[in-house]
Amino acid sequence: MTAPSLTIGTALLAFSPTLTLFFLIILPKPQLTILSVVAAFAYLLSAFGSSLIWLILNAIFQFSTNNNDDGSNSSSSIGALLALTVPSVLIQCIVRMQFVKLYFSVEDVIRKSVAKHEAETTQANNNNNNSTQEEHAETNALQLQLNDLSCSLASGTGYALLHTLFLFGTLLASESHEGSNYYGNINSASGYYGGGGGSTGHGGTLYQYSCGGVMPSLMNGALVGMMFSVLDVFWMMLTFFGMRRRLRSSRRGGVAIVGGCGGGMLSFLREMTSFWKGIDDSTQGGNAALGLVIVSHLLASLVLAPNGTMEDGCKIALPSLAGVVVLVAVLFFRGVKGHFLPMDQRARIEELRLGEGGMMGSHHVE
Amino acid sequence: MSAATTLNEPFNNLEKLPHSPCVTLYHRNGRVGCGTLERGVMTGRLLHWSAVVSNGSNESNAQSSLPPYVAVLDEADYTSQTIEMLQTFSSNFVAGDEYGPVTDGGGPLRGVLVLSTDPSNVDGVTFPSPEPLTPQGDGTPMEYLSVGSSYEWNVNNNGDGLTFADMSGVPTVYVADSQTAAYLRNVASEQANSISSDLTTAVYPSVLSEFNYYMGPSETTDGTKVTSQQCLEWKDLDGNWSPKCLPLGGNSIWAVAGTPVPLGYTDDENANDNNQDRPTVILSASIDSTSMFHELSPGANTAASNILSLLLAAELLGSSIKDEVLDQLYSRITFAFFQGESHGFIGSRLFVKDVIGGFECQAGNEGIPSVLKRKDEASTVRACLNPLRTDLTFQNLGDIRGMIAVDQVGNLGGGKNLYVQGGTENGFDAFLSEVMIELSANGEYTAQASSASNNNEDGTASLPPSPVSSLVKLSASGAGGVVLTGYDDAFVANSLYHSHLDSVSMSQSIDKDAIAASATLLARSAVAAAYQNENNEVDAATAAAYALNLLPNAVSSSSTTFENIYNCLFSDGNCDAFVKYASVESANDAIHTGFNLGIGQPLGKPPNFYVSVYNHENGQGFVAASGFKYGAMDSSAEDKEDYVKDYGDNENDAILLRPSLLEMSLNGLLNDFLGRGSFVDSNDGTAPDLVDCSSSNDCSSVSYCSSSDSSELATISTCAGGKCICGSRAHYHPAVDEAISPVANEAPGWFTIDENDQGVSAMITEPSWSSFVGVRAYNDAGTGVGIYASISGALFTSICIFVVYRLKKGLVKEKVY
Repeated sequence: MTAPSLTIGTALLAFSPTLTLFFLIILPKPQLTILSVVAAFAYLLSAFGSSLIWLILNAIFQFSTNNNDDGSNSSSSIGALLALTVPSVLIQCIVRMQFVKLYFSVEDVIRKSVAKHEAETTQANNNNNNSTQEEHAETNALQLQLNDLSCSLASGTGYALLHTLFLFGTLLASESHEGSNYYGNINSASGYYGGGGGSTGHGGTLYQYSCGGVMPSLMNGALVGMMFSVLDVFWMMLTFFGMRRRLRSSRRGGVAIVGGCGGGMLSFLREMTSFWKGIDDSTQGGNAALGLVIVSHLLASLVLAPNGTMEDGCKIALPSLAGVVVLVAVLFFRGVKGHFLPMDQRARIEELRLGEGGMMGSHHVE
Repeated sequence: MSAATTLNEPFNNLEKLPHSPCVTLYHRNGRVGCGTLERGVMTGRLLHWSAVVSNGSNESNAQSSLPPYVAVLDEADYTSQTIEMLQTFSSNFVAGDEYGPVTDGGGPLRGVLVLSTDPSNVDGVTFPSPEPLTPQGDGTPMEYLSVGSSYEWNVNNNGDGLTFADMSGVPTVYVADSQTAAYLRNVASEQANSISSDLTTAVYPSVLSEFNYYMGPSETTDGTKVTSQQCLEWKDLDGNWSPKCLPLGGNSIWAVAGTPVPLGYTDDENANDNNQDRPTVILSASIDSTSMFHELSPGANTAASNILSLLLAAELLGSSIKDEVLDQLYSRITFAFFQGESHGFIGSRLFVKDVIGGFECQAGNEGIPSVLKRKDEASTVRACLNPLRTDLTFQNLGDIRGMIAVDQVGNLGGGKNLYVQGGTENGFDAFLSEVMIELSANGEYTAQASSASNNNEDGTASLPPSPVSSLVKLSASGAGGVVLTGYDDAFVANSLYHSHLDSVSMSQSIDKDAIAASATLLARSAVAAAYQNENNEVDAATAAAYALNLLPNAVSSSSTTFENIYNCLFSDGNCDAFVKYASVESANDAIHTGFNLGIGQPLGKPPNFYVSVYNHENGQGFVAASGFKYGAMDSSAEDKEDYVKDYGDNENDAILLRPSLLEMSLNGLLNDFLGRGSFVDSNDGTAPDLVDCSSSNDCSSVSYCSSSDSSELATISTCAGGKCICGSRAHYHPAVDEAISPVANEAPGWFTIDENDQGVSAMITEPSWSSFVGVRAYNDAGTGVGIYASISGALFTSICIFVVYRLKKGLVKEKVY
């Protein structure tokens, strides 16, 4: 068993971004918590899909390797890497987009329901000559809880949390499980045994080929998990941004919603070519955001390749991954600054601000 | 999950390093074997032993501190010389606390990992024998038991006596898995290289090995050596008797060819006195082996080949000669498979002592039935309650006239010569030697007189370690014998004597035809020996011709029986054939006793011939009386507890025994092979169709069993190996050190030293193991990484909390939260 100090330290590194988001922002809002949990489930689905693809492709690679007369693996490792990585990234993209699409549908239903409720209360109050301002303010506030910013943050957090659990939690479990019976029995039997971490108290630490000369695998895994969790949050927010712009376009009679991942792949890829035009508050900007998700995800996956194939490959992989995180963060903030929320949500906020000023009260719903 | 082989993969730790521990034993005068100094674990980084010793020569700072290390060595290097070098170097230093606190005061050498040889590098490697040059002779606890104890039988195998070295403080294990061994070898070499010549530097991370193998102390606090007696009679601080070890032992198996010997005590004056008075010639073999490592005693050449050869001799005899012919011979032929021979001829000495020394039963003198509820049955075995003997039939065996033992006939060193050891004096043993040489004269494999020099003080020939030594030493009448061996004046070179590599799946080369030839020679020699008359008037040539006439056919190494038993003894000890024989034996016992104790200790796959500790789970007979179990019983003792009732007070009282799978199988096989002489042939002269059975209950109506005399025993059919056979000829005899006896009216497992101990036996005991012993290997990261990780984790978390808190404030301010 790894030394507790190392276990705790790396766990803090890996889970801090997602857990602080979860506990400080998500958990106090039940609706965000639900959204977060559903997003985590979406990650499970994507992981299942990726695993399935991996199993099939791995079997194919094994088969082709075994059939080589000279016994060599003629398929280049880069080819295999791409063949395994690209489908996984695309599956995650599809699941994210489908998740956001589902969320938009639910949001639509809620919005219509609220509108109907407001209409009914307005009618009733008009009949009774009562003021409807208070009721409308409450429903406005409720709708504001379902804004794209907080919802994408909640969704990204849930998605990232489970992704980190998969990436790092399994490693953490492997490093924490060993010898539970052995230690307990030895301790109780003799009283001389060193306990967890061996007689030294800091033994049982995994070092792997990919990072053995640099740091324990737990630290390596924690850093990878941490950076991917940050990326997951950005990717989910970018997906919200992109899908919202595509939805708006669809409602205006433009491009079919999620036409790429859900429908025609060719049209989707064509739209993605607008990526270089940058992320702005247009349909092309939305497509660019989605394109950034795919490209950066692919990039993040590929830069991790040295971590599994080279001795001390983490020396290359970790800085490269950090570079991808910084790149995505910069592009995100530059791209969405000032217009992350769609027009209608921005308008409602303005309306609320004005109303709030008039009533001297707060409609912040906890 | 498959066995872990490296530390480089998650979920693949070496928490339970697959290994076999070094054997640790107590004997009459002290302790041998390995173990930690105290109950605490011993931990050190893995370093290749050569690096330690060569670097050590540069160290001059005596008694300074060194980071603890575990020496890693290949099995070919595991010699007493290497261990002495390591211990000597280590004694110049004290262990540092870099890899955990050290409270035992030992040196930096914290253990030894012995690795199996890289399969690609086996060619040309010579593996030493761990036994001394004089196995069971001078310098060993058995030196008083051997005939010619100074003779160096093991000289060709570089025997260095590591078996009898006291390595307390040097816990040692053997890693057999080649992949794990390769990994550990690489790690040890890399770590040795990384520290270069500076042994004082503790490097992190390092792969460590941690031993939890406390096997008892070498000395007591007052400096006296701990011996088997102290271990057996150990009293805790509260004064309670709490034995810390058990004797090694089990059961020997013996069986007669021809009409069965009457069972135990009889007061019938009309009993077959003629049959009882016949002397006996014993054909014997050792059925155990040993090595440096527990559970790794494959004994292909030292046990399996002997057993196979003797079993096939029994089969040849039983299937070729009718009982009535054998009953007419002057001597009875007895097959004896002795247990515990590698640890001081345990089985043969007790058997010979009981048979020729006149066993005295102190409780149940009349030979009480072993099962009270069946006391009226003629076939019921009689027993003695104290000292416990579950079967007193040996009392009717008659005098032992001579013995032929077989030893190491599986590896003839590439030749086709067998050798007859002993028999250099005039007398019956000389006759045996002459007959064996005569009988093999025209065969493919010939037997020659050994050229071992007669170097004993009295001019007699030295005998290799074998049951014959017990007969020679214990026989007041000067009975002796010969040993048929696969070696001449010394064990065959590279024969892996008592090595863990004495296995066909490893380095041993077994000549099946040699075993078959030995079996044939043994069977014919037994007949010729039994043919010899009272006054030794028959010459060897005549006796040999007589035997050859009765046994014209030879054992074939390609026969089904040979192949089946070979597979069981050399490859899969838990084979179907052995399990079937043992299961039937167990069912037969259950019919008589009312208790089915099942099959005892398995032989294992690959087979392990290491004799087990002796307790009621492992071959120690015990008395089940009035709901209690006793290792021996004497209800007339004045100091007995109130709960000790008379044997037979309860209808379920019985005397029980749970032999090992090997012992039970041998019992069944002997019954099967030797019972064939009682078959009545069919009307057309062919052998009868044997009735299928699962226990003796299924054999009550068979009609093909006959008897040449008035004895009913040969007509009472029994079940062996799934077929009804005639008569029960095989018997168990306890194999436990002659000086050690179960304590009367105490539970099995409590032993004491006999008052009449003559001080010659080895008195081997094995310390009781903790349930938690084991070895593991792990990476030690040192304290630094954990501290850095926890500090950076805490800092990063603080930053995250700060950032997210600010984010939340921003969201609230923007009215989106």
